[in-house]
Formats: sequence, C-alpha cells, structure tokens
Amino acid sequence: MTALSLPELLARSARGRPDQRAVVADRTLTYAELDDLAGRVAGALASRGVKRGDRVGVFAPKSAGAIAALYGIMRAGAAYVPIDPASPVARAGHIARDCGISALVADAEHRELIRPELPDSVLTSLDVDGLDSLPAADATGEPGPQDLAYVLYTSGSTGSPKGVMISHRNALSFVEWAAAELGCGPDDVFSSHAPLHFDLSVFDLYACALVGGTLHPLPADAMSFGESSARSVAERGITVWYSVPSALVMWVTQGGVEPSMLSSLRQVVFAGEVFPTPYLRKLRGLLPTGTGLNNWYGPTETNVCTYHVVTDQDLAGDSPIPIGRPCAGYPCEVMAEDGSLGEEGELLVGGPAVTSGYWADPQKTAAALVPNPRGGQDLWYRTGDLVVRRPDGEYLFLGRRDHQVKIRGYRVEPGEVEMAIYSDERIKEACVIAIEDERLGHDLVAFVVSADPLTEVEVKRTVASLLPRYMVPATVHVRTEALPKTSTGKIDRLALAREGTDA
Amino acid sequence: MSDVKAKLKRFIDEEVLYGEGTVTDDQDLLGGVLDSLALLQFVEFIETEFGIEVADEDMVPANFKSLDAVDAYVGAHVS
Repeated sequence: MTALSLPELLARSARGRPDQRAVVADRTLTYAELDDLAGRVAGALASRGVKRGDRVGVFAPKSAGAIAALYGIMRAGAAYVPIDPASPVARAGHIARDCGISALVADAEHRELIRPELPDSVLTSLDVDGLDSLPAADATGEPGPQDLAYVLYTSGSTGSPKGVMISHRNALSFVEWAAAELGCGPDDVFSSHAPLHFDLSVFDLYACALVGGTLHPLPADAMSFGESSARSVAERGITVWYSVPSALVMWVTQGGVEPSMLSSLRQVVFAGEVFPTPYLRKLRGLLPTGTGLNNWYGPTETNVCTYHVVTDQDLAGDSPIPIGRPCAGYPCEVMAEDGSLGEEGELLVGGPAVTSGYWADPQKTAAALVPNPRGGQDLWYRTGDLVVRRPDGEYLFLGRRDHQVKIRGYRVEPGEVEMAIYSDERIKEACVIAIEDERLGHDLVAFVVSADPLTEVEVKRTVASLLPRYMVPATVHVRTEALPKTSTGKIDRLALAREGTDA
Repeated sequence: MSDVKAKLKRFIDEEVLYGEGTVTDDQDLLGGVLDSLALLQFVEFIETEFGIEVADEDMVPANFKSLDAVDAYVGAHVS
C-alpha cells in the first residue's frame, strides 16, 4: 500500500526489519534505533511547542543524528528546512527568518554561529549530537500527504534565495517511482553524496528507507578525488550511486581508480548537469557490464520528471545524452514562445510531484506555476529549460530561457551574485557572466566598475560573506570605465561574455 | 619557505580562504580547506603558474594532502 508520508517509510522498515542497518555514518543506526531517535526528536519538538505546519531549521552536516532529526521533524508534522552548513551565516539567517522557523536542530558549532541571526519565532533548539538524551516518545501522529515535508532554498534571480515547498505527496510520488525504476530492494547499499539542502538527497534518504536498504552518507573528504570516492564504493559495497556528473567525471579524468573498486555497483544515476558523452563512454568502460547507467532530469520544484537509461548506441557518438521521457505519472508538454504546444520550447511539468510554490512568495509562485496546458484544474511548473522532443518521444536539453546556470549541479542565478557584489557601496556597476568550462561546467566571471581602488580578492570576499562558495566568481575584472551597453541601455552581456572567454 | 610554496600558499589564502584565514605547511587540505571545486581551481592555477601539466594519474589525494605535498609535486615536475 502506498505510504502517506515520508516518516511512514521509516516506521514501516523499522517494523519489518528492525535490526537491518539503516544509516552508516559517524555512527551506525539500525532501523529500530533510527526510528526510536526520530520519535525522541518528534516528542521533544511537540512538547516544546512545535506544531503541525511549522518549519524547523537543520543547520548541521549530514550525520546519523541529522537524518534522525529530519524524520523527527516530519513526524511532529513540521517541515524541515535544511541549511547548507558551509553557508555564510548571513544567508543561513536569511533563510531561517524568511520561513520563520519555530525550532532549530544544529551541532554546537553551527548553533553558535547562527544564534545572533535567529528570528523571534524560534521556541527551542536541539543539539544534533545529543538526541539520545531526549526522552523516548510514542508516535505523535503522522503528517498528512498534503502537509509540507521540507522547504529547500534555491538561488533566486532577484537577489535572495527562494524556498521551494514540497509536500509528502510530492516527494513520495518521486521516491516510489525511483525505487521501482531502479529495482531497489533491502540488499541495496545507497551512497549518499548530496548534502541535505541539495534535492538529490531526497532520493538517497527516502528510496533507501522505502526498501529498507542501508544508507552511507559519504564524508566530504571522500568526494575530493576520484580515487577517494571509488575507494568508498569498494569499502562500503555501494550498489546504488546517485550524484552530479562532476563526481563521476573524476573517476575517468583522475588517477587511481580501478574497475575492481567499482564492482559492487548495480545502478549509477546522475542528474543536475549535462554529462559529456566522451567521459560517459569512459565511465561505461570502468563499470561492471550489467550496471545500469541512468540520466535523470528535474528541478527541485518537481524532483525528477524525465529519465533516460543510457544505451551503447548513445555512447557510440559524441551527441549529447537525452534527458529522456517523462517518468510514469509526470505529464510533460513543450511550449513555444507564442504559448502553443509543440516539439521545441520550454518544458512544462504537471502531476503529483509538482511543488505548490515558493514559501511566502505569491509573485514568484504565480510566475512559475501555470494552468494545466491540457485544460485540467491543476497547476504545472514552468521549468525555464528549453528542450526539443525527438520523434521517439525523448527530450533533448537545449539550454535555459534565462541566465540561470548549473555549477556542480547547483542552480546559480547570476542576478543573485550581482546583488551580493552590490552590497559593497563602492561598486557602481556589476555584471556576472557564466563562461563554459570543460572541467567545472561553468565559471562565473564578474565585471565590476568602481572609482575606488578595489582588488579582485576584496570583491570575492564580499560575495563569499553572503553566498555559498560555488557562487563566488572565479575571476573578477575591476575597472573604472562603464560596462558596455546595448542600444536599449542594458548591460551588453554578450560583449562581456566574449571578453570573458578571451581573457 | 620555497618560492613555489609561497605562491601555492598565497593562492589558497586569497582565492580559497579569501584572506580570512591562512594555511600552514602540513595542514590537511582535503579535510575542509579544498572542496572539489576549489581543488580544480587550484590545479588550474598550478598548471598556469608553473607551466606544468598535472597528469590525470597524478590527480590523487597523496599529491594534494598538504602544502608540503603539493610543493614536492610541483618541485618534481618543473623543468
């Protein structure tokens, strides 16, 4: 029977396989132990005033305790709001205030950092490393399918991040499809590579709990080099791997990776960026013959909505790999600029996985969610991604309708970076351009105008104090003369892009 | 400190830590200083600054675990 909420997945596996290892991280927890810990969190939050529909911030690295906290928050009927533990405190505070969290789960270090930034709405905080000492608690009542499970903040073009609201029903639609598509079962060992604030983690956490498998969050230092992450696969016997392409490209572009290290892999899934076909061909050669290679596509607002199983034919040439066909239950249409439906244009997605919008932002919500183009009552999500539908029904990704780019799978709006640069009042003009880079995907290049003697490092430091590291421009050109303009008086981004590429 | 090591240190202090910290010679660079993105930028810097090519098979933790390790690697490859 279909589950009604994400924590129900944990409760079921805890009943069915209490002694199975659920999480292997800084400590190992069985399903019974993880369920017990989640119950303690839910009980503590409820007894301290956290109510159904509240938001609870999680500001800590991905540990066994943090995972228990997510389940506990949801079991209390609240939505979790994961905040990048590497995020500058100003941004972390902005997120906490924007959605008015009523409680915080953090480790000691992050709790101290964010304390001055917390809103008055915060009733209590829990130490993620001390959850065992909370009193054992009985079930506090499961959330309903329409309740929010989590709010994920993603880059916003107008200068501040926006909170994507995902309900239990939204997330479960994806998770159930994903586990079935990959044929997952209780013997599967899932690597968990994405941090909690990155939507890729939704698959690892909940597809694993659904089938009663074992989850291995990989430590950050295991992800710096191909050799380190490949060793992790071997040591942990990983069978299901899901990450951005760049983490897999390291296996074929760096030294020290042997096919024998990867022999346990049954399914390899990548998403979030384009995987260059020549590298994918090399990856195929490293993996066991029967290992599935899957290209998944989907924004945070819908989770994964199209998929493609990579074939030998795909790898024969250098053509890009399609993002594939719609997942079961995800209607998709392609809309041309004039609003007509057809073969080439912007991808629209409908169905049960689509977000209900952005937290407390009706304007952005109205821009992103449009009436069902087929005439139904529901709202569909405008992805902003331009695609073409091939005769066989598979979609090919062509690019973006706007300036958004992906860096390491993270969405980056150059406008948000520009706003951060403008926080330095000495700066008169700023423009951020994304230049394609073979190894990094995209490099951000900033053009800055100031009458004051400003150094490149100063500008980077300003941005780094406000935004995550992947949003800090790799290069900053500081100049005194004005930026080039188009005939309509806008900054000429194309001219700057040429300049950035030549530099 | 060697000239090479000083340049490596300056890159990390300025381009990775944005002047808000400093690394020591034997500090573990892979346990929090260099994430995978910063690492690739660091490699690009090394290739440009010292005119060497960091071969694929050299992209392993042992060569990048500390300033001392990178210094030794660069020293062995500059002609």
